[in-house]
Amino acid sequence: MNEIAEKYLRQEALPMIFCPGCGDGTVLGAFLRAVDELKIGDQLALVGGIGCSGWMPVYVNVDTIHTLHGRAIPVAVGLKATRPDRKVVVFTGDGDAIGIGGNHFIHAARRNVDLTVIMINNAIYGMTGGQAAPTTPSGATTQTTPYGNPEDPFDACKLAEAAGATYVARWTAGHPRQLIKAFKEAIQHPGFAFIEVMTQCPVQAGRYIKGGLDAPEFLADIRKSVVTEAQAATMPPEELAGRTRIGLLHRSERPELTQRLAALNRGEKR
Amino acid sequence: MRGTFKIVIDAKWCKGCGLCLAECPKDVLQWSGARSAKGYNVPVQDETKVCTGCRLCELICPDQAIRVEGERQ
Amino acid sequence: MSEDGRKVRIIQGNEASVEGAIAAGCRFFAGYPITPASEIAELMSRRLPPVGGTFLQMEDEIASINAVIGASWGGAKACTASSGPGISLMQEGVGYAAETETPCVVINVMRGGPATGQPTISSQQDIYQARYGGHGDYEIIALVPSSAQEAYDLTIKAFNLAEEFRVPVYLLSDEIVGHTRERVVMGGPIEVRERVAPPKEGYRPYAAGPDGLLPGMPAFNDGYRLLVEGQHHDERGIRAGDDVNKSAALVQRLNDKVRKNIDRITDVERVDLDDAEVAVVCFGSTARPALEAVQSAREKGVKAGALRLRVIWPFPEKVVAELAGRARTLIVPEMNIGKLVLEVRRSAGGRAEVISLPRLGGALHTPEEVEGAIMDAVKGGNAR
Ligand SMILES: Cc1ncc(C[n+]2csc(CCOP(=O)(O)OP(=O)(O)O)c2C)c(N)n1
Ligand code: SF4
Ligand code: SF4
Ligand SMILES: [Mg+2]
Repeated sequence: MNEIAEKYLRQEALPMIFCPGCGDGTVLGAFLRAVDELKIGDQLALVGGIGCSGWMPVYVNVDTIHTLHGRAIPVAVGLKATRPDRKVVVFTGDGDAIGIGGNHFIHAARRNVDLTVIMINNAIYGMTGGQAAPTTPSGATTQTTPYGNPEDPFDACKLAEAAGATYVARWTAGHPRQLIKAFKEAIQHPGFAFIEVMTQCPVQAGRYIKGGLDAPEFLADIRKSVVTEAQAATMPPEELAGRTRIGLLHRSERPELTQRLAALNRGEKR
Repeated sequence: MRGTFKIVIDAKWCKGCGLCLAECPKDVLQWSGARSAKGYNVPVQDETKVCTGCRLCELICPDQAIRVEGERQ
Repeated sequence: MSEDGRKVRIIQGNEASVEGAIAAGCRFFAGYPITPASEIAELMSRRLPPVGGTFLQMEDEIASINAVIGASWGGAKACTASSGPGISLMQEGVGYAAETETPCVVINVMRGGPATGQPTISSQQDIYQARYGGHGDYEIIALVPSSAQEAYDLTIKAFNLAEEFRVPVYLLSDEIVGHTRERVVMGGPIEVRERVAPPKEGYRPYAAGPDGLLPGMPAFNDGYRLLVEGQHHDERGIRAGDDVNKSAALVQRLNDKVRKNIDRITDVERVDLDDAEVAVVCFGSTARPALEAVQSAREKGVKAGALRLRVIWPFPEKVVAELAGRARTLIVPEMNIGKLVLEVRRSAGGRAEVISLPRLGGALHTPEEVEGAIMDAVKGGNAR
């Protein structure tokens, strides 16, 4: 085990539940490195939803709450409102964040409450065994779309931006260095920061959507499907078609909720 | 100048996923063929290859099983 | 205001609950508007900011209870309020609070149901929902005020019990109590249980004392490195759902910590019970006509009395059993299909006749109606 993991993981909670080759562990590793570089361990309050991804913060040896399916964000709002100086980070899945928890997600973005929300997009419900998620591509077969998914997926980043998020980025589990930087930016960003991480789920999505790709093949496949702004600028349109944009997608400034609440406490505007 | 790097893979945590093998630009990691106590095939460092200390394997390993020892000089 | 800080105001039960909550140290409220509970959120939005607290109108009641859970671990005494439909949405969260031993207060200003039912009309239909609304085996505590004064007093008590027992505590108010304007004495020397931070040395967040209770309540970012886990867990908070023994022990303790400490929680008022042959067992707003009926019957020379329950969960079975050993008949008026009567009958164990006086539709029983039942019971008894 490497030094960062030794320093930050809750050893008595190991091993992590993730399947071999699951991207969740890589993303968690990037998060630990971001925390280490920021030196903010004591200020952290971590919140997990339910799903494979919801387990990520449970392994970090700081104050952590593992909540109900879809409800990580409102719990995080309660934590943040009671002590705005804490750095609250939510780990959530695509189903957790924009399926069952979609209403909380858009409203937290609208409020611009200072949270960092890390959403693992594996395009599937991993924990429950490979059913369709609101991110599952159209036509994909899963345990609940045996004839191909008759629905279209959400673009979570567009949803976040439209709802009012003030930091929006998308990376993949194959971009750990970029993730470390993005996590640092998001944690320091004074507002609702959203990071979607496209992640290989070799066991469920790999089997049902990708027809049996193993972890390295699956990650290579994800990398092939994405494009940065710089790459897009030089790419012919036919090559660009169907690729997902990654990188920092949106950044803006707007008054943050708990700062506004603190102004009420001080008697301003009352 | 390059340093000399040792890649330590902790068989207690490795789940044999192969991501580190695929990630290494210099093909430094190879399957050992030996099964860990948990039944996984754990990679080893191929001493004939040159590790540049890029730590991509350490970063990609989902189970934090890899430690790259040695400093870049 | 009097010398000892008491002040008297004419206010609604809902307002009294807000004042009680703030007096008890509540500094976080999250809610969503619903009749007949909206006044609680409205007044909280005015009252909390000046005392350093936070009011949030959430996107729904699910968010509200979960924000309350987050705030409680964040270090604040926290509360939400709603009515039937909203309380139904909160049930998964209430169960989570029970599992994770998160102190919090849930005020249900009961209205008629099911579904949208009767938004503006009172009921006592949700008493079993309070106890059994979420999945799995757990216990909560439920207090039932009969007046605006009790809405104040019992809200304070609800916060104290939530802290002491580390459970979600319901205040089961209703539309009548919530909306009736009455004289309420507030302030003065009230008893408030402050949060106590547990010692950090060797701290195991879920290691209970001999009474099954967890000592104190820690907060996030105070150096505990807490793990709050909704799956069954061990004393460290680490998941143990696949361990049958640890899981059984946790669920047993979550229930026993309320059941076995029932004597510390039970709160009843006894009216003319010493020689009563007929006793009315009543709670909440139906206690109002019930007490009038008992008084009127007494004036006519009938040996009537009343047992008024201020806490219905855990159900005071010993108190009711003891009463059933002395009184011949127990009458249970309630604004529902006849619910608490089942507990009364079970506790009476056949030693007294138990008569149900249910009422649907939301109109409160009249004193005459309850008195009529008392008189029938007396006659029936004589004829036997
Ligand atoms: C209210 C509720 N409904 C359903 C479930 C079952 N459940 C657990 S995890 C999950 C899906 C998780 O999918 P996602 O959020 O995408 O996370 P992943 O496992 O893919 O990381 C579901 C439906 C639950 N725990 N609670
Ligand atoms: S099911 Fe998929 S997402 Fe869940 S742990 Fe396994 S690989 Fe990861
Ligand atoms: S990436 Fe980690 S878990 Fe996977 S094979 Fe390499 S050392 Fe083992
Ligand atoms: Mg998923």
